[in-house]
Amino acid sequence: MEVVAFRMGIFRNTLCTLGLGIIVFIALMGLLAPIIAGDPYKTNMSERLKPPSLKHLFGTDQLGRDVYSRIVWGARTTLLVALTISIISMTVGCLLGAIAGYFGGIVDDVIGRIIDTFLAIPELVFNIALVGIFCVAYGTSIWNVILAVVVTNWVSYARVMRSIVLSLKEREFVICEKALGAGDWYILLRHVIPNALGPIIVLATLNMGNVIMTISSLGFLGLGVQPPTPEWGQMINAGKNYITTAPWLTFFPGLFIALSVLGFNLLGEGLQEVIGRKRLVE
Amino acid sequence: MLRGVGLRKVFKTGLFGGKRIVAVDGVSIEIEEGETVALVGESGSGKSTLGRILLMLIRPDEGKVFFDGIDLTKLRGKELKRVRIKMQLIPQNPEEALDPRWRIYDSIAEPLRIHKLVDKSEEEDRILELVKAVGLKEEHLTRYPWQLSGGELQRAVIARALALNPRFIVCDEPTSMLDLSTQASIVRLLMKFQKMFGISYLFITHDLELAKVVADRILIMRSGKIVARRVESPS
Amino acid sequence: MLKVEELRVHFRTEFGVVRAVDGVSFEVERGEKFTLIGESGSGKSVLAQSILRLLPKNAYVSGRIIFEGRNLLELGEEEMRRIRGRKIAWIPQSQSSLNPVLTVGLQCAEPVMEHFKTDKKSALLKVARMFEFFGMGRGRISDYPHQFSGGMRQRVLVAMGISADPEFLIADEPTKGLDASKRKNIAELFEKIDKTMLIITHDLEFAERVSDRIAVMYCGEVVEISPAKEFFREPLHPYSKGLLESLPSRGLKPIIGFQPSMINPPSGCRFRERCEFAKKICERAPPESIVDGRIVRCWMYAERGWA
Ligand SMILES: Nc1ncnc2c1ncn2[C@@H]1O[C@H](COP(=O)(O)OP(=O)(O)OP(=O)(O)O)[C@@H](O)[C@H]1O
Ligand SMILES: Nc1ncnc2c1ncn2[C@@H]1O[C@H](COP(=O)(O)OP(=O)(O)OP(=O)(O)O)[C@@H](O)[C@H]1O
Ligand code: SF4
Ligand SMILES: [Mg+2]
Ligand SMILES: [Mg+2]
Repeated sequence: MEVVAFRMGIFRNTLCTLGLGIIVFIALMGLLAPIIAGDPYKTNMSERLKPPSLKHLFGTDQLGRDVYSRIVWGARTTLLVALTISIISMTVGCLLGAIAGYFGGIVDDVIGRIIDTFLAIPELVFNIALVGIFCVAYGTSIWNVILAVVVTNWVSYARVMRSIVLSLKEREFVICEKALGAGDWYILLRHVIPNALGPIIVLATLNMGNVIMTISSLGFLGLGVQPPTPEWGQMINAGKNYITTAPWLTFFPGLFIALSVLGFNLLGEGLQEVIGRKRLVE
Repeated sequence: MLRGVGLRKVFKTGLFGGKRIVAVDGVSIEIEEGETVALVGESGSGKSTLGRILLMLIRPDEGKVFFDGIDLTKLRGKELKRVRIKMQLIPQNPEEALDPRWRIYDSIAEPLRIHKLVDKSEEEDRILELVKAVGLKEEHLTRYPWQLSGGELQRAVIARALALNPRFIVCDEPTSMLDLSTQASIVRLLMKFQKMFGISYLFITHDLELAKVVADRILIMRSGKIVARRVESPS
Repeated sequence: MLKVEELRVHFRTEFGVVRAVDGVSFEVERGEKFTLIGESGSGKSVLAQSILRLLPKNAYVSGRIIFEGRNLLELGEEEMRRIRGRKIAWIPQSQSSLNPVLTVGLQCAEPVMEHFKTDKKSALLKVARMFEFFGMGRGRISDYPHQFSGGMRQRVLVAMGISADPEFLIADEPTKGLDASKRKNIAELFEKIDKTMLIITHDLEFAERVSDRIAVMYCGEVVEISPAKEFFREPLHPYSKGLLESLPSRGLKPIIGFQPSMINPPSGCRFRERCEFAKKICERAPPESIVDGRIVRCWMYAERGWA
């Protein structure tokens, strides 16, 4: 029943519906890539840098590959990488933040100090440095990117979680759980964290937009997903040399980056409204 | 059975803990087996804080709490958990006392599950019996806390406190949200349980008339201190 | 000023339809203090929330609620928001409506700022004076709700409700958890404020003191409406009589049993199974009778059929 009411709320909110529409569209692109798009790796030197046409909807690139196919497969890459990053950083961040907020004391001091330190460092610069280090240490791999972004990304989850938990642990129902004889970990996992999930879901949605931006930026700098795997940021990078002669090489990846970031931000804002209102009604 | 000695609790509030509030100020209290002690006193005088200290939900700054001769302030983790089966709280704010994401049934069953006291089928019987005793119905059990009236929630919380068959209950204004008739039924129910199982109560209330009816002794609290003790003739 | 006609509020749940309010009509005149009392779970708070249109989504409301000539049930959400707080204020029953992460002073100052169009500083000053009136030290306005005792939070709710000086006040158990002297404070305050009020309470002493008329609810229905003085001298409905008999000072004698289920309420008089006067005829729904200007829904007072 709660789920139904929640869903109704989402669809009644214009921002949510719009954002969700965009995200579903892009996710479907990624999911159905093998069906709706051709081979993104197939080069064809006789059809290099062709402008958009019926045969090549978004034109072809400097190696004669179909840009449309690469965009569609790129959605898969971007979403998978972004989702992996978000899930890992959410789990790590939420747990650490919840532990810091709930137990307080020295644990909180240590985790809090780490959070502050990370907040002070410019994120992208740190990501770039980390990818560099990981590449030298472990060779190029998609996990370099994922790890490098997770290292900075968990912090926002931890910070938000910590502050929610700080206020939740003073709530009477948590104190009552103690009176029943429940242990700290039980209370934390069964009562505190579930009740903090509302704002965390909002944060995760908004954060997905950021993560996509970061992945694309790393790709653009040549540090992210390595060619020939199709990825939007890296496609812009490859296309920037032809920006005057073949603008579609940069335009379409740019469009889809913007669209997916917009989608997640709209959904995030909308969810914030819905959840905020829900609290009021209760 | 339960004894608090020289209890004191100071809360620090304000930005840097600059303001100090002496909530409980050197209180000693003793409650015998099967006895009801009423605690009355104006709002903000430290009654709930004292009740929570006796249950070790707040650690006192000074003083000790003995339960059957065991010093509770020295216990931690598992040992404290074992003692908690025997002492329960009926909290002052029932609307805030239950997890808003849990159904009423699960909330009432929770203490039984935490301490693994009964199995599934027994659990259901026990809960239905408790819930009927406090005047709720099966239909309330599948709802969430915000779908119950104030008084219904209060009774759900009372059922939860009774579920473990405790020996000592701090009843923090257990009938503040009930109409007079339901209040009378619930108070009678508590007294019946007391007769059957020899439970002791610390009964916090603002209603002196009610205190006179239920209690063997009345303590009056003001600004953190117990300022008067009265023995009531049994009614 | 407020006229409720044939109001019904039904909730759809897994066990069936809960008829929380089932055909309630009454009228509150300008300047009057109208008090609702009745069994726990009889639909008082739901009634109040339906006036404010704050019910959850599984509620189905029918009937009419006329406030200053307009049917509130037909207004848009935007218009309703303008009425809430500005014209109709609400002291909620649940203390969980306080925001746990905002200081109490700021929460009280918000309606003041909005209503009187003042800045934060003077609003906070006003709040501080109010806190003093309620016996809670000025310094406490910068504390958070969890740092207050239960009775203090209750006083905060009352302060918040009256701070914007509304024309119509709905107070849901304003005195719960307060000691006698604070209850008296609030009673005096309510007597002094010359506003229309709908009060819901279990505190009969308070009700006797502040209200002009009393309505008694039982199982979703209003069973009696009487002027307060006469009601406390001699309640008419058997449920009202039983309620007054349960006072601790009269020996804590409850009416046997509890309120019946609101999903399948008993046919005929809903109080039948617990009523000591019940007769065969009570299996049919009792008509509304008027005795000396008092409204009562019980066969005992019907023109025909009892004897
Ligand atoms: N967590 C806390 N932090 C700071 N101050 C607190 C805290 N808990 C209670 N206090 C303060 O301690 C004092 C006593 O509070 P307590 O809740 O024990 O009062 P009480 O006697 O139960 O009152 P009431 O009848 O209103 O419930 C109050 O001034 C209150 O503001
Ligand atoms: N959202 C809901 N869904 C289903 N049932 C509900 C919901 N809200 C309230 N009810 C039911 O409606 C009935 C009336 O509730 P209400 O809160 O109005 O009672 P009340 O008269 O205010 O009682 P109290 O004095 O205990 O506060 C109760 O039986 C309650 O269980
Ligand atoms: S109608 Fe009958 S059962 Fe109902 S209150 Fe009157 S006498 Fe009692
Ligand atoms: Mg208290
Ligand atoms: Mg109510």
